[in-house]
Amino acid sequence: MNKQSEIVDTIIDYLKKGNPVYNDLQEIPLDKSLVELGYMDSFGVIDIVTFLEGNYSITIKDDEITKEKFGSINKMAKLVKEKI
Amino acid sequence: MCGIAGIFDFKKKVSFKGNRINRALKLINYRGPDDLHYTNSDDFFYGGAVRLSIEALNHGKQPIKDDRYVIAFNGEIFNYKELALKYNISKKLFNSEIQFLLEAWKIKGNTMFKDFEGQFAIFIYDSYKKELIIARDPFGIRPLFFISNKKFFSFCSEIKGLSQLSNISFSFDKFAVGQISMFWSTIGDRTIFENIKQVKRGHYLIVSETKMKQIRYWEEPLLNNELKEFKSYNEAKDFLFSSLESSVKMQCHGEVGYASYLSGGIDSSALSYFLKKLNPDQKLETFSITFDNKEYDESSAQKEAERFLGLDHTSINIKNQDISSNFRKVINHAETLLFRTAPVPLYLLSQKVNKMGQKVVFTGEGADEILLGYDLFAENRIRRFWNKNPGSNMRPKLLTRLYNYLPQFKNSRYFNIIKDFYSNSLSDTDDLFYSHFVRWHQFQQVSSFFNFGIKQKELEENILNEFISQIPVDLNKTSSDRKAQILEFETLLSGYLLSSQGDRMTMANSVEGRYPFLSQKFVKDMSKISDNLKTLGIRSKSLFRETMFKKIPNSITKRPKIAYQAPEAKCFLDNNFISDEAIFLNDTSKDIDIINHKNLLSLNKKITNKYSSDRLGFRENMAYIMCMSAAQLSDVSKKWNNEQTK
Repeated sequence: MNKQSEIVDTIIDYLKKGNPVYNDLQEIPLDKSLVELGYMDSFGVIDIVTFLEGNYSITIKDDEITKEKFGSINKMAKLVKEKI
Repeated sequence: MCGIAGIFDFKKKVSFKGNRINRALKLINYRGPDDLHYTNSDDFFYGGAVRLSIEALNHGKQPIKDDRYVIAFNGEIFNYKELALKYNISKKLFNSEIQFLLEAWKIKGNTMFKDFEGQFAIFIYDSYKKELIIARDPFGIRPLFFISNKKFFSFCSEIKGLSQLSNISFSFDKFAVGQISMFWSTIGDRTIFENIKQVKRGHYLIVSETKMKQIRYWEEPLLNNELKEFKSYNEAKDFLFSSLESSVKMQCHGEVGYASYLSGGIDSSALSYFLKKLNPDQKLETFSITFDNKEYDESSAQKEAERFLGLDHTSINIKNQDISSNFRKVINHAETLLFRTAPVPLYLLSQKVNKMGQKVVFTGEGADEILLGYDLFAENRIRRFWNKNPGSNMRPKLLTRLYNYLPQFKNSRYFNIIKDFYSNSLSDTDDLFYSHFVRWHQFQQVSSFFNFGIKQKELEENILNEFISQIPVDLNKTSSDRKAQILEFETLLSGYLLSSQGDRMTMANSVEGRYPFLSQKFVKDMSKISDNLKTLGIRSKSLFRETMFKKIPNSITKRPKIAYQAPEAKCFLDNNFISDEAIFLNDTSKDIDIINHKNLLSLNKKITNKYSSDRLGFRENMAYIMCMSAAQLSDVSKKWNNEQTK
């Protein structure tokens, strides 16, 4: 069973590979919008959605791709946790 | 008339100058396979040219000299006959462009460059004054590189030629890699290599043993702010129509015929329309790219233009593997780090044009910059409009009208995220770089795949400061649209589209590109049309669309702007495939200082993850393609040097 913290780690690991900026941060911002922080562009959002859907065999609905439900690493992990 | 090289040897110490020029020109002989000559007028200067015969086939031998000057050029001066009349040069004195140039130089000197309609790189050596002048056209269509030191000054149309003119080691200019990470191209006179410079677009250099001066002769017409008054919208359309028609007509120059590229968009379709209109009885060969990957393919629009205009059309189909297997050859010609793979299909396209026996091809570069076609211009307007009422729900909805060719904009499920993405970059509307903030923000991510030896923040600041010193000082006095246009000229157009996608890819296969949207007259005319007339609201180049209405298929005039794209990093590796080029990159990158090998290997893992999306993130593709370019360029540039020992 995936714990939410494990999902968080998986997401961070995936994001780091494409964006080494995360490696330079003292602390990865788990509760902030990566898009607003400029760490993720709009292609990056598609990519993380595609990755999570594939990796966890889940479907993320259109109205879930919002700042409220998908706007930070913790929110992404929570959403995934609810679906698996 | 397509490649030049020379050495100005201040101390008369460089041995075998003629021989060196000969070797340099042989290395770039695809630029001019029809002829190769070099000459000198004293022991200080040797210059030469390779020629692709297009105009005055029997009289155009280059360089030419008299008792004082040696002169040669690469390109076309379309209005040379007209200027000869204006300058009162007797017809007896010239029967080719190069002979005209010598006579014009004697009468007008440096002031002649601003009168030229054309695309050119020119050298003139004055043996009396012991002075060399080299010049480049206003948009940088034709390339011209140089090395300058206390002992000599050498120049060539391509960087590889410089390897034959003196001993150089090709090492990357880290600052230039930083510039590409931000602007998508090097800026000003920088090239990707340390100690190798280029003549800036619209400038000429005066070189002697004691001085080197760089002088701008082209003033940006957009900064002139002199608007033409039109009585009606139709009058503005007629003005655009006749200006473009005369630009195309002027560029139907030469004795070898011409063909045209046809992407399926409005720009190239309009060129085909005018070429057919001007020569209705002549068949017009057109060329296009189709992709196996449907996401990038525009073949249905191309077919429609072909039927409607009665074109003689040929297309080549590109598979992902064609991109990876030709990348190295393309880098050998581009001579810089690419940030996307788009030059590869264009290289293969000019190869086809050459095989079909054509030497000249019309192409639509510049239309989007001159006529406000890019989504970036609309994005700039939307952000400013939204910023006036940041709480509005309606205003950000305009964003869904942008970038129709990108999945995240096409698919409404991503709207809210797109909105968030832009919401942070709305204010600071007075900033000189407001229009390009969003794009340039990629720097942070992309640059982390390279080793610069200084802190990222510091580098970013230095890059922006140097850029400010390069752009016209009165840029902030003009409108926000015009600012954005000039920033595009200075970055992507000159440093990438006209070079890596333009001259270098066509000339690689001995084909000359013609760019009617960038003729000096057309650019000046269009600067007289107000921004809002050119583009109504956020409808990209609406005046041009209306102008071409019913002249080309409606589906094309109405079609949203589709940017030309090609598949990127996943051509090189995927979860079940790895190309030889990707293996080469992994093997060599640890020995290439500039590449952050560890981060690159980590990126490889993401690209090959079976759940990563087909397109990846834009910045990840960009970083990967830049690293791939660095590995290939580092290797091929060593081979240029080896030519010397043969």
